[in-house]
Amino acid sequence: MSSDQRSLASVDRLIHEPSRSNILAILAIVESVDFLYLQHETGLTKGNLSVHLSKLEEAGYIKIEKTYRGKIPFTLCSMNSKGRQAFEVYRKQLAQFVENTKET
Amino acid sequence: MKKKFPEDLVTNSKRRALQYQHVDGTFELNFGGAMLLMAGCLFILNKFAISNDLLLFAPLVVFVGGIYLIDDLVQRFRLRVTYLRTGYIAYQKPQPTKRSTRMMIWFGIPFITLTLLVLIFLNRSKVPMASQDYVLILFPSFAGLLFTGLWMVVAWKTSLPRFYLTAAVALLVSAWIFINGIADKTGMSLLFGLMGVDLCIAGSLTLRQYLHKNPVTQKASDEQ
Repeated sequence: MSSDQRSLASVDRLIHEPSRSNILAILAIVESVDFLYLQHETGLTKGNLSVHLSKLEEAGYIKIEKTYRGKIPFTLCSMNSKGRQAFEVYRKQLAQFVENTKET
Repeated sequence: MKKKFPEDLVTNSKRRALQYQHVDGTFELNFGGAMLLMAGCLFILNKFAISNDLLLFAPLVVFVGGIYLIDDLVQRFRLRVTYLRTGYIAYQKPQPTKRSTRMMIWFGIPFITLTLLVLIFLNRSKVPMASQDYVLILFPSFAGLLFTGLWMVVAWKTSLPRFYLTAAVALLVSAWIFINGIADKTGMSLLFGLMGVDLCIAGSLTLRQYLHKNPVTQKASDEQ
């Protein structure tokens, strides 16, 4: 196994799933977003999004908070420092892999 | 140069989050409403020939106050309409260096320019008659060019083509005012009035399209 393949094999599998990496890419650039925004942006069903968010929350990458703005309920999702760090490592690993394997 | 995954994913998310601020057209409605208020204020000053130097700043106060008041209404509207349809984003606070640069661009440059123009206007008696007319004619056209630049920046930052159209309208209006030699408060009230109407039309059309595309989903935001 080459070093490139090894580096790809070592990426965080929890993040290396298209829907979850998409969710984290959104959360990485905002303070927080609500469930509905994530659903619109990812195109996932409510059930699917809930499952992915639960997995990310269990891993300690994101925080889910139920709150109110006025009388309107919001389910706010935000990325914590552990999640930011993990996503940054994942991005670097993938960028490195792409760089090393690109055709000259 | 074309960016590659995973940068693409993050860049795309960032761009879409930025565009989301303008998804419902309330930004244009807010700015357009404030501009119409300012145009009305300038029209009244002109109509009743009010020449008190202190009152010359009234349109500026009305404009800034109008933005705050309308923004409050817009926030209430977004809470009840936009967030229930397509969700809510809390944006990251910009870093102090970025924030100061942004503040300088959005408030500093227009403020300095407007202050300089007001100073020139107030001291117009100290310049020869020909220059006085020249200054009065340039005043609204220059403000129009300033708006053109600001809308170009908004369009470039958000990658939303409709703001290029707004910039083009600002340029056309300022050119029309300059060519016809419409000076002083009449020119300014026309500039703000036409820009206000343009922004309100653009905002209303965007809002109409947004509401049509995104019907409300019952308790959608809380069904996790």
